[in-house]
This record gives sequence, structure tokens and C-alpha cells, in this order.
Amino acid sequence: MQKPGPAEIEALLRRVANRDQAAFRALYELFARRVFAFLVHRFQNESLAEEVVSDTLLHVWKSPESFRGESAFSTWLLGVARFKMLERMRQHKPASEDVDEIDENLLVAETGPEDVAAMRERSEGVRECLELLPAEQRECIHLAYYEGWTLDEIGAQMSLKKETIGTRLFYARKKIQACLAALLARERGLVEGLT
Amino acid sequence: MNMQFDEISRKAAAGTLSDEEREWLANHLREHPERRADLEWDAALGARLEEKIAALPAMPGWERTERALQAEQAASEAQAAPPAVSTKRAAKRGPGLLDRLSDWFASSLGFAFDAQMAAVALVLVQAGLIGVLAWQYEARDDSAIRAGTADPTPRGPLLRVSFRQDVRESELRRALADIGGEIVGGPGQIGVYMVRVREGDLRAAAQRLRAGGTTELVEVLGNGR
Amino acid sequence: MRVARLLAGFVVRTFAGCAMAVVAVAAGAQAPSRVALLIGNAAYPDAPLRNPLNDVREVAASLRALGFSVTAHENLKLGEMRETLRKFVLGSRSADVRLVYYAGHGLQMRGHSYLLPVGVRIESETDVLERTADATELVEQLSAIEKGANVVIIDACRVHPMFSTRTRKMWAVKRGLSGLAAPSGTVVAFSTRPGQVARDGDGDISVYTRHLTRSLRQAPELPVEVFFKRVRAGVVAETGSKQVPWESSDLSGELCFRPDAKGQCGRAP
Repeated sequence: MQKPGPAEIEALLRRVANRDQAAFRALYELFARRVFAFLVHRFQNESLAEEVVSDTLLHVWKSPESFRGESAFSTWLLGVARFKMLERMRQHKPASEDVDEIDENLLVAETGPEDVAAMRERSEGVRECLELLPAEQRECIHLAYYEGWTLDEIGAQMSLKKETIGTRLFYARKKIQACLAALLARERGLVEGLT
Repeated sequence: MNMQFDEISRKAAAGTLSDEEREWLANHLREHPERRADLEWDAALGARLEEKIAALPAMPGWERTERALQAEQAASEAQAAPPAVSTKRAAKRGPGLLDRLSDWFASSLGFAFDAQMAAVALVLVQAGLIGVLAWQYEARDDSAIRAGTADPTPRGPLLRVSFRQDVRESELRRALADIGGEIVGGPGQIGVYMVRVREGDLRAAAQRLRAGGTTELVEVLGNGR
Repeated sequence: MRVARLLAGFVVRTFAGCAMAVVAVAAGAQAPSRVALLIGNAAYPDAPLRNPLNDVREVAASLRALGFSVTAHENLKLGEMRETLRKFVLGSRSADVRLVYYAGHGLQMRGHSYLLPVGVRIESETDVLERTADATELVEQLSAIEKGANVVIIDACRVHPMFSTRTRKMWAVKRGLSGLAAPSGTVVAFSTRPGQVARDGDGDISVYTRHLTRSLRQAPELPVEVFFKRVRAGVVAETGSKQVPWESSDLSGELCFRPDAKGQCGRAP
């Protein structure tokens, strides 16, 4: 996905400040799907995510000066979207429900060629395994692997220490691997049962 | 767990490596070839995420956004032309308003005609301004108001539904699709969704939903509250 | 049209310093089912409170004497608190009277009131959304239940040390609780004005609770609007007007905590 540079974003924001709707639309085209992807991945509520994307970008339209350049624009935008989504959802799941629970079984296996093959080949399986993760781990995975944020940046977003983020990513990774391995084992079992 | 390698491997997956980081990675892999599997796994996860996201709509929420922009534009155009609005509103109040006002001033206050007209003009401008403000309030897109406040109960044939805690979103969506339902409110912390059933019998839909085993609560609201 | 005899579809919310629950009981052939959930949070590491646990025990005893089926919890963490409230809302829908009582820390943000569980740290607006229980939503959900009456008592107007170190991140977070807008058929009573705080108190239970329970003992037959006026007078007199309880009501018909044998409320002496 196209990720625009800071100069381009700054130019668009200046035009937005002058009520240039074409510039706003360009900004929307550049960021709306990215914001939507983050919200859907984290919160798993597409209809609400769509509204929040609109609200978030409209916030930029109404107050472009509220982005002060203290971080990357995308970082700021995702932070605004996240907050708006939390406000709308006022989630019924506790924030830190067993997210950092240590499962000894997950600590054992190193990543092997079979894990790599499963991740490359099983799109649907990966999708399902991602959905099974707790929301906070999904958020870490998205920000790290798709947005390329550092542990410090993710920690600032989630008000957590970078070590905690590192741990969450480690366990999320292991859970996905275990989930995919289980999926393959089930398939193998089914095939063997048939033969 | 090597935190630096892990972080750089993830950035590689996201395509955000700097030149220095790229060089560091190449050196590291030469010294630790066993880490290549982790790198490849991370890259594959990044690719799966890219795929997933590329399949999402390109402009989610644009229609709603566009409506808000249009409403804003219409409101600012109306504000730029208060005399036209006030004239219309004065006319709506009935013919001869100016005459009646002038007569009232003339009979009760004894002002000179010019002063009376100035006073009348002031009243009309104020009325126009009030008229414009009232119009703006009606025209304003109040989705922004709703966004920051508690969800008002939507209207229409509705179910109030709470899904089991262990139900995944995919199961939830399947259950809703089965009854032709869409979420129009909730869940909030209590986890109660408002579901509109697009067509068909509401009670039958409620029964099907209960029978599906994914819910803890299904209540029929009928025509809403 | 609501009358003292019927308890369908109204909500009484009392935001009280250690308040006592007040509720009307329907007269009828069958004893009405009345259920109560009580939560008292006191063990906040940064701002421990003295009264809430005593408040909960006092309220529990009083409610049991009034015939309530009571479940009381102390020092709930976030997950426990949200799940307890959720289960109560979902599991008590057929009751004639539902009562929720909370004593502990609370705060408001952007027009919503939030209750603080023990064991969380609140340092940003995001923390408020992610680490508290939403009192506004709780009341909305209870109000939406078609059968029966609801009483929500929240004694959460207490000073929390976060307000001594406010940063720009917390600008939307305010002291006290929002004046919750009352759904139709609702009485809302606070231990103090919206946006103000009440102290934990010097005694074992708070000033407001003391006057509330006194009125409950002496004048439970009064219509609730008159009842709370009586409570307010007592609190104002004792605190020298430093704490002024506040109510708002759009209740139609009469509601009292103990109607007479005919199911009617009494009159002010």
C-alpha cells in the first residue's frame, strides 16, 4: 500500500487548511483504508469502524492544525482513530484480560520451515488465527508488522512499556504458529482418517 | 529472543527498514543463519496482512464524509446570505409586517420615520439571524453529536441481543446474516447490541437467533422505543 | 402512567455519599422479586478510602431487611467489575426491582460517568475508556429493561489524587460525576451537585448515608421527591451547605420506599 512522505502530507494539510476539498479527498484516499484496516483488525466491528474512519478524517478537515507534527501523521491519525473507536465502543471486554499470561507450551518451539510454509500458504488459516488473538495482541501485530512501528511507538500508543509490547508480540507470534500448526494437524488427521 | 533482531525483522516485514537497519540485518544473518526462518516467517505475516488489507474497501466511510462536507458547505452558504433568508421569513410571517411595525412605532413611540425604519431593520436583521441560526441547527450533520454521546435507541423493528463471551466475530456475523440483521447500536461494556432486522418476522428472527446457540439474550423491541 | 402500585419501567438513581438504596415495593398478590448488586471499592493503592466497605455492608443489611435478594462484592478489579455488572443486567430482567449500589472512586469525562475498579492506574483519557466501568451505560441498559424498576446508587463523588497532577492529556477528565440525564420515568439523586466531590468522611459511613438511612427508617412512606428533599435538608444542615445533594426527576406517578397496605405513598408530616 502506498505510504506518502511527510512533505506530501504537509502540502495536503496546508491545502486542507485553506478548505481545499480536492486535497481533503486526496488525504482520504491515502489514509482511510489504512485507518479502517487498523480499526477492523483491532476492534472487529466493521460498521462502527467505517463511521469512525469518517469521523477521524472529518476531524482533520475541521482542525488540520490539531496535528502538530510531533510524530508521523499516520501515527497521530491512528491514535485519534483509536481513541474515537474506544469512545464509541466502550468495550465490554476488560483491557488486559490474560493478554500477558505465560503459556509454557508456547515457549518451546523455534520457528521452523513448516511454520514458514504454513504462514506463506494458508491465507485463510492465518486470518482465522489472527482473529483468535486477544485484541491487544492483534493491535501490536498490526502496528508492528503492517505499520512498522517500533516497540517504543507502540508502547506510547498503548500506554505500556516497550518490554511489555515486546513480550506481547513474542506471545502473539507463538500463538499464531501454534494455531497454524494445530490447523495443519487437524487437516492431516482428517486426510489420514479418510485414507 | 533478541529484541533488536525481532524489531528489525518486523520492520522488514512492514517495508520500513532504513539503510542502516538493512545493513545491520544482513550482517546479523551472516552471523546467525538460524534466524532466517524467523525473518521469513515475519515477512510472510507482513505479506498476509498486506493481502488482507488490500482486499478492504478503498474509501470506507466516504459517502458519510461527503454528506457531512456538503451539509457544511450548504450551511456556510446560507450564513453568507442572511438578508435573503430574513426576507423570506418576514414574508412567511405575513404580508404587511413592515407596515404593521411602522404603524406601531409611529403610534406608540412617536419616533421619526427614519428612526423607526432603522429600528424595524434591526429587528428584522435579528430575526433573520435567529432564523439562520435555527436553519443551521436543523441542517447540521448531527452524526458528530451522536459520536460523542450515548447512542440513542434507534427506531424501527429491533432486537436487543447479547452474544456469548466466547463467540468470535465471524460467528456473530454469520448469526446476523442468517436472520438478515444488522448492528445499529452497541455493544458498549455491557455487551448489548441493537440489531435491526431488515425484513421478515421479528419474533421468528429472534427465535432463530436464540436457537443458534450464540446468544445470552435476545429481546424483541417491536417498533422501537 | 406510573403509580406507586406499579413498578414498571422507571429508574431511580441516587448518587450519594455512602447512600442507602431507596425503592418502592409493589403491593400485589405475589411478593415482588427484588434483587440488588452492591459493590464497594476501597483498596486503591494511590487513594485508599475508609468508608465504602462499611457502606456496602450497611446497605446490604438494610436491603435484606427490606426483602431484597442481595449480592455484595468488595474491592473488585476491572474484569470482575465489568463482568459482574454485565451479568446483573442480563440476569435480572424479570425482577420487579433491580438495585445496583456502588461506593468508591468515580470520575466523569465528556459527559459520561465512570466507576474506578481497584488495581488500575488512570493516566490518560484512553485509560478512562479502557480501565473503568461505565456508569452511564449501566444506567441506560437498566433503563432499557421493559419490566420492573431500577435503582442505581453510586457513591463515587470522591476526591482522587489524579486531579492533583493533571496533565494536558487529561483535560477532558473532571472531578465528580456527570449529572446523568434521566431516561423517562426516572429519578436521579446525587449525594452532591454534579461536578462537585464529596469527602470520604470522618465516621464509619458518610454524611449522606447517615441522613439517607435515617429518612429511610423514619419516613420511607414519603414519595421519593419529598423523601430526597428531606435527606438534602439534613446533609446541608450538617455540612454547613458544603455538600448539597441534588436530584432530578421526570417520574410520572408516585414512588416510595414503603407504600402502605393499599400500595399508596404517605404524605409529608
